[in-house]
Amino acid sequence: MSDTPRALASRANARKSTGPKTAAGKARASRNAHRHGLTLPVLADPALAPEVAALARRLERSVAGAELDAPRHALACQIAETLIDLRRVRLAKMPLVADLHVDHKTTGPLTRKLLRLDRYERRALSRRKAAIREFDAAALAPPHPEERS
Amino acid sequence: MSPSRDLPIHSSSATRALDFLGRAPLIPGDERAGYDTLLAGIAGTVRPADLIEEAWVRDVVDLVWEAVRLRRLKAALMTACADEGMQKVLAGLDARDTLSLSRRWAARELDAVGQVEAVLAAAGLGLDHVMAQTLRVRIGEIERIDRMTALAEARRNAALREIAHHRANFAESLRRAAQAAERIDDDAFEVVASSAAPGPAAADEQPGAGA
Repeated sequence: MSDTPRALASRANARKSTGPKTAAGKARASRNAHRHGLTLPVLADPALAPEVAALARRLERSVAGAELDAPRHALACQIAETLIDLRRVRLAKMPLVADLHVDHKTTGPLTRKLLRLDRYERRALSRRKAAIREFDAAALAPPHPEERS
Repeated sequence: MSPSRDLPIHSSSATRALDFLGRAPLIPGDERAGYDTLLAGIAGTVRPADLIEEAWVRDVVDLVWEAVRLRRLKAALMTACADEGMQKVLAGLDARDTLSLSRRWAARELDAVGQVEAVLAAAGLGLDHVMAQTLRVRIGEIERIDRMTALAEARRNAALREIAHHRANFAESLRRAAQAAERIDDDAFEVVASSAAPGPAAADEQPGAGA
């Protein structure tokens, strides 16, 4: 390790720059790598997760006329999750769409960003389609003979 | 299970029920009334029967709106960037001070317009050539806007197909439920007929039983 004055000064300066020290600063820095949060599953988002079960119950009552049993409720939760995910992706796109129509000279970077975000919408749509088909097959299936008796 | 197929479409309670879909995707400059009319028209035609269909209807409306807005954006982009195409055309004709001239032409300054028209006429060119150059300059953005428009249209069609699929499932389930109900009625009839078959003594107690 070099002990020249310059190296010593550098090490001393580096020790002063080891990142935030306060809790607020650390909390802020912890989100430095955060871009849009769309890769985070809805159920892992504390702000959105509680909405899933409630929306699932509303879907059940709307489609089947009643709340469903646990396996079919789980399928409704999958749909609810994708609906909330779609809403989240579309909300993230809106400021970019608005900017796109303000200054035509910046259309290039904005359209690139929008198409990058589009992959999240595509995935959410695909998951929603699969979830609804699975739910339809289960929720609208005829009651099991044992359930009838 | 008796699915509720009679959700109101436009009442305030229905609006509250659909809050999970988020707000309408309107940006400054969009006409709220136009969006609402489109929503009412498509909802009135499709008549969504449950929240899942409501979500698809909203998708269709939003995607139609988005595709129209993107087409307008493409046209506006071509107009707003026409000076860039003009500059390319003028540069190809060895005109002087092409950047300033094309910008003044885009700003509709009369002397610049006259000067540009003279240069183009001398070369046998017209506005089509300018727009072609503009397209060439902005082909990346135009191609991406076209791709987004195509995606919106494909997703709109997919949403309509999913409604049809969902309804076919629903109709099939109704058919099965009706058949099951008929079977239950048949079973019940047989049970009643066999257990209540009167013996000679019982038959005597029931008025008209022997008839």
